Amino acid sequence: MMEQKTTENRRVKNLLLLGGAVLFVALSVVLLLVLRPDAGARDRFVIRYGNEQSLTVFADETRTVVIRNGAIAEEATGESGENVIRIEDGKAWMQTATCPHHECVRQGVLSAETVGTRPLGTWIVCAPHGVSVEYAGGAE
Amino acid sequence: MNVRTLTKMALLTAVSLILGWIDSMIPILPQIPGIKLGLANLVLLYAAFYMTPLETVLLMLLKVGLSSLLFGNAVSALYAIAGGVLSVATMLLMRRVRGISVITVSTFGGIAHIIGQCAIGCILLSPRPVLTYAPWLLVCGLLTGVLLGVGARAAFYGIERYERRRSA
Repeated sequence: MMEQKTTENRRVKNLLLLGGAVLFVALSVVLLLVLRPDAGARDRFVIRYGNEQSLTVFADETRTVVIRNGAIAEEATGESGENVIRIEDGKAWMQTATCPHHECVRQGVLSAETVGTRPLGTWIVCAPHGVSVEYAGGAE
Repeated sequence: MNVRTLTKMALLTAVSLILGWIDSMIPILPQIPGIKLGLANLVLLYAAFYMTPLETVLLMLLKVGLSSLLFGNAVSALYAIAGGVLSVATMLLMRRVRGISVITVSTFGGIAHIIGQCAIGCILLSPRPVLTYAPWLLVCGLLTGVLLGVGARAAFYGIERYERRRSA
């Protein structure tokens, strides 16, 4: 009888603790979804090039940015020193580049969803051309 | 540390590395990066119940260090150590509660692991992308914690039965 009561007490204790864990996760999820940092702010990509120049593009824009020899160019021509950056659907990627190994093109897509898994985190970097793209979130 | 404990530690480290390798090949939700079953945590769960706190911490450090060296890099080591430290600390604390079940300990360990990883992510990246993922990760931490706990309970039952039969 005594042993049965102890077993029952243990079961209740464990169920209460597990319920507490579920409640904690549920509350955290609700809080994180409702009070998401910078909620409503527009995500941005900052493109840096040339002599400390930069261009900010909002992630909800659809745009192609061409940078040639440290300056913004009108359109891509495939000449040397050229990087073509595409921004679409909240994602940015290096579409083409005329750098030697095209490592920047292989660095993949940059977005809020991918920054946690990319080796370079919030960056796409083209070291030979001195061009970088940074996912800057929605903070001012 | 005697030879028996040393051998046990070496075996458990090897098992955790193998389980970690198997874990990396099981896709859970490929669209949400960083989500794993955490099979290697079975070993830490075992250590929390059957070994001393010091041995458990040492085992966690060996597991994190060696798996990062073999399969990861410096950044993944930081994530693993943050998750591992918080998870082991939580499991060892929960273990002190009388009559607590392995499922409860495992669940709290899973949630703590995710919190530790999110914390280091907030420092290394920025809080925004990490907190965007945090709700998904927390739910998965809870579910995998319960799942591992159920598996561990079955395994512990088998181990205890074997030990009883051997000593009889």
